[in-house]
Amino acid sequence: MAKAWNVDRITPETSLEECAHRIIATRFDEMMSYKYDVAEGNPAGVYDMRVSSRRLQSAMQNFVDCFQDKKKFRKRLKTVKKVTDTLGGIRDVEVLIARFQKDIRILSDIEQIGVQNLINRLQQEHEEKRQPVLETFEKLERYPTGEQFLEF
Amino acid sequence: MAKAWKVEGVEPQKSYRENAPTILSVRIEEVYSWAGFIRDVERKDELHSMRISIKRLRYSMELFAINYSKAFEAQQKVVVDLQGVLGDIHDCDILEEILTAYLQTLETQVGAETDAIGIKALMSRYREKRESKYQQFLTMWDALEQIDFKGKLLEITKQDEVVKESMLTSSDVNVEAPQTN
Repeated sequence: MAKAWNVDRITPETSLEECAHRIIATRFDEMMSYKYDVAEGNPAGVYDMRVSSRRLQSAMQNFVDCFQDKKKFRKRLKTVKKVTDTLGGIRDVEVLIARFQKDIRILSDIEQIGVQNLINRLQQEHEEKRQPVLETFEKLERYPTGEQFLEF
Repeated sequence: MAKAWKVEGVEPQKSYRENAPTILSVRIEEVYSWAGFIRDVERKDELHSMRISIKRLRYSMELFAINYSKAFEAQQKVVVDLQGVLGDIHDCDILEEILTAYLQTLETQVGAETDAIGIKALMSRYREKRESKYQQFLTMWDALEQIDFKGKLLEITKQDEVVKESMLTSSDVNVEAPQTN
């Protein structure tokens, strides 16, 4: 798993409000840094972006009260959740394919037939699940940086 | 999936350190709200929700770690280990779900008997693994209960200054996941 990015200028004595802005902006940039890997279909990129989106979501859930316009904040949170969910759909299928491809080796020839057919089906499903992620990215293009993500 | 608990009492103008216990204690309570279900093997959804709550706690602990001493890191490791075992259990549940659904589609197809042989073989393998991981989780959980992990976690997070090393050493919470296949 990719390590969480360091957040600059965070100290125990800084106000929570200031820390919340910096953390969320950094986590957003961290999440979006995997965008090209995901668009290219790199499984490691999907995994890292999903973990980053969870970190971002977790921070946002903790810091709701640090933002005046809660309605707009929750709308942003909803978009992040959508990223996590759509990436989760792809990631789950990737994990299943990898697991079945590994475990098929211990099966007899006759047992392998059904599992191979299932793998083929999942590979088709994987392609279909990529499209919604690309659509979600389009929504996020509105915010080129984490700072802009928090401008509302 | 269960929603994240709302955190009440956050004071944005106060320091990061002063707010840490307010947020962390909610995430700890959220995890333990699922504890009553873990011994019922049928309550897979609740176990999954506990895993998600543990992730929230883990990432929240990551966020606030700079406010605490090294003893806090040992507690983070325990949370990561719990998340790992629950993740393995969840993977087995998903695998079984997918294989069961696939088997059902095969039932409607002529000549699919051969396909079903391998699917059933894998299902049996994943059930065994799930049981083994579930027992591993319960063993870990019981060990944590014995040392009052929740109490120690709440205690350390409620310190409003960096906790002294002597309060809780790493060995107090060093509950490693027992190794199973």
